[in-house]
Amino acid sequence: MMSIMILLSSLASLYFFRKRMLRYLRYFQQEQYLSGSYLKWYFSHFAFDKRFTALVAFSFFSHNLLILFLGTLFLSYCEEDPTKVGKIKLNLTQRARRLWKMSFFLLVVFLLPFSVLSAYDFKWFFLALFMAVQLLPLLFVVANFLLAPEEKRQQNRFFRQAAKKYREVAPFTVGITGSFGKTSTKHILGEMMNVCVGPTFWPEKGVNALMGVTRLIREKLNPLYTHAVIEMGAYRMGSIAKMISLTPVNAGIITAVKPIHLDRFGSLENVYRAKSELARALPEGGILVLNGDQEGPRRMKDEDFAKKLRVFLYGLESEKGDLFVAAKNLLITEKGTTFELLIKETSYACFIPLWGKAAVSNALAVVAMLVALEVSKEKIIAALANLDPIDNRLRVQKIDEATTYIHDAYNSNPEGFETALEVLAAVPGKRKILMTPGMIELGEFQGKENTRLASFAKEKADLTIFVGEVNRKFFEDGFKVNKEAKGTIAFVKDRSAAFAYFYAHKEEGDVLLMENDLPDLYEKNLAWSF
Amino acid sequence: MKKLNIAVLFGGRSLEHEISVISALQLIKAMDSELYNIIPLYVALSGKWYTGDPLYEKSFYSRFNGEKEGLEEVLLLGDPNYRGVVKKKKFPELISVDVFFLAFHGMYGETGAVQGLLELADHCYVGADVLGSALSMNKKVMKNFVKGLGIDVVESVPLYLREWDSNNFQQLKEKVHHLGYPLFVKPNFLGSSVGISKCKTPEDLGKSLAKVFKYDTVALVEKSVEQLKEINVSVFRHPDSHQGVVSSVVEIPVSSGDEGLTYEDKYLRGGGKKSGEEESSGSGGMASLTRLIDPKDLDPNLRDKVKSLGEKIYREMDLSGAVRFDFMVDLQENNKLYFNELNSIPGSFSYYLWEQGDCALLYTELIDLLIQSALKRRKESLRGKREFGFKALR
Repeated sequence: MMSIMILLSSLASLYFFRKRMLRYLRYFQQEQYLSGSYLKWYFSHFAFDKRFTALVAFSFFSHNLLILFLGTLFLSYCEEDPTKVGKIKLNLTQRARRLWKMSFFLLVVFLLPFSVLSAYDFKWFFLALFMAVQLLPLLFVVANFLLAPEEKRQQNRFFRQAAKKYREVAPFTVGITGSFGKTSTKHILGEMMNVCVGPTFWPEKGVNALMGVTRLIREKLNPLYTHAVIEMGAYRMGSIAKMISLTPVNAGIITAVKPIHLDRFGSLENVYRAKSELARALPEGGILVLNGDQEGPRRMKDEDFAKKLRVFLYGLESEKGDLFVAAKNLLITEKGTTFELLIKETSYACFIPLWGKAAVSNALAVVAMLVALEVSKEKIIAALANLDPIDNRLRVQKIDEATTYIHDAYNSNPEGFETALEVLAAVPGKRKILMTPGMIELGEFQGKENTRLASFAKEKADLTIFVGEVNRKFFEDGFKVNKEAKGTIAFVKDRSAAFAYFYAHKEEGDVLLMENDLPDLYEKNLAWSF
Repeated sequence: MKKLNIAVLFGGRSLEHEISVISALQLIKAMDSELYNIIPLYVALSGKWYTGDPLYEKSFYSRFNGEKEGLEEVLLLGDPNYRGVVKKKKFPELISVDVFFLAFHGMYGETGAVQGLLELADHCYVGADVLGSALSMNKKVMKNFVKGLGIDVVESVPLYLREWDSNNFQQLKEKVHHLGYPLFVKPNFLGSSVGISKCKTPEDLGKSLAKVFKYDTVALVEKSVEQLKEINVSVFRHPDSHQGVVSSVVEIPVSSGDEGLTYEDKYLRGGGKKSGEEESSGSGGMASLTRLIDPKDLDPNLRDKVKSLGEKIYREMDLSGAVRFDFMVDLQENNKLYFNELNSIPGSFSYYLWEQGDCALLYTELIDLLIQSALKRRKESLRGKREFGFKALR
């Protein structure tokens, strides 16, 4: 009887482990399979198992295998399926499947000696279960390490195929990089080039890493494309140069150089060097479009490598001088933003169905590039008026008669957050509400910037619904510092609680700004769900 | 009698993809499952074809991202030896199909492209043939055809992407100058009011053209009828030869502004019918547009003219399936009637127009008649000889 119960409990446990592994795999995937970041998340969130461990301990001390069996089945039933629930669902890609299979294989190998030992003393059985469940999250790190050479080989093969295909098609390529605004700028430029210049290849959404672009080149690059717009994320020193070896550039746009991801770069100067890899790679006579409002890009125009290039500055701050394309008199409405566009000091009335200063700045980068490519100004202005809103990036929508929603769910930065608050204040409505968990990944500036923006939010929003714990203290500080402003704040534990709060207090004429919807792994206090 | 295998084809690489999903789900819900085995065939935005049970759920589509759980990928081959679609797997398996029911809207599915593939493989399908589909999707050529039948159309000028690329704005403005402003600028090949805008001054022409060239290579610039009433009618060929081509009651769709019927009016406002009746099958899509069905205060002469012109064009084009004809009445020009456009696969198959009038039909009955008609047409085409052996090569 005992051996039957051990067998049944073992099978139930394996089933439970399989489901639990998927949950850890989701977070590993959200951390882009970077073992260091994943482990950091694991330890900082106390994401080790508690539920199954408690069950094992209880059945060990009570000598009751039936409880273990039934309890395991119950816990398996309670485990959510990360491919179906959660804000960012687990995408079971080939790589994710390989990792899952390898980790499960490692688990079985680990358990084999215990199955022999359990035959002598069933204490070993309980010890095996306890150790196995605690090892589960770490197995992915080992599996990742073991699979790394094969992954690398495969990635290199795909990279070579994509690079060869790209060389054969040889589209005129515009590279875009910057600490913020690059994805939106890519969308605007990609759309505008299709309408104004010729068939343009541009990886949609936020695809800006080497393997993402590689995959899209292999799958979607039609040989008849004449132009391409490639967003280039600087993940570490040399990553832009590597991207350029895949997609050689003819022109470049640099939107900003900011102290973001300092944990990877070490210093702002290194961020500057990483971003300038794009400018350095441009051929003689190549077009370089730089954000003149930002110190970093502006500095690049005086570098030696810029001497052989055609450099164009754009910006909203004309007083800084030398702007080739500028904008003034911005007016935010429910439909978008109108402004006066200045090209070499000639003025044009302009409208974009996008909102705020940051969107105008991105549009100016695109205008500068298109003017450099000799597209007629009438055409540029006509196409700007017909841009599509970019999903989840500062999008104003009147979903019902009573409420206006401003969705800015993408991972935000201080400039973007500030713009969003300005848009919130400018859009017509009775009561202005901000819903946010604050900003992340700002290194040593995280506290300071969140406190500053909280203080600004108190001025611009009548009510702030603050989500989660990560930046709570900084927001409390920001609200304390700004004594003049009238805004109030409410704290809730997660996104669903935030919406419940909003719907419970909703009034006609509300404008709700949803700023920075963080991935699950930042927001929830997950510790007790394991 | 053997149950017929009816494959409902929908989705497709089209801007009207989701409208097609709505039309197909309404259709499937209304089909008589006693008479037919229904096979949903979904063409994803990627262009891949799928079948499977999840396709019956409306909520499935917005989360579909190429994940094939519960679905099987299938292929439609141009080879007439395969009497259906083939499951794409190591050992291909045939899903036998008797009739394909096309519920596409817009590009490829309504343009004659899919119809061509079905013709190539000798399949029976519901709806207009290659020529009828292609002609009805090309607004410019369609207008010329209708004009040739002596029916009035609003004057228009086509402008091409190649002209836009030449950067000569002045020339573009001159080409449309004689029409007078305001103008309507629309994509030549698209439906569902996508890309349409009203252009009030020559300065706005660029913006309207930029809107069209996001989607299409030809813009049709049309004189604006400032005070108009739209009147639509649905027409189909009854399988019973004695009845021939028949038309439904007419409808007057209601737009929300002076820009004509927008995509939002058609699919997002969801006003519903104004005649106050309960819908018989499903909801959403074109069926939820705010409209007056069979308005009693409409001039009977105008109503009869709309019906007879619809039937005339249907006959002249030798169309098939339930087709919706859209007309415009110029209220400033003594109720002058213009042909506007036709939809060879109208949203919701215009079933709501057949539920009233002298020859009222429930959606389920309409579907049966469309399938009977398609089978009849296929039988006719089978009588044609396709080969007469090798003579020239002998």
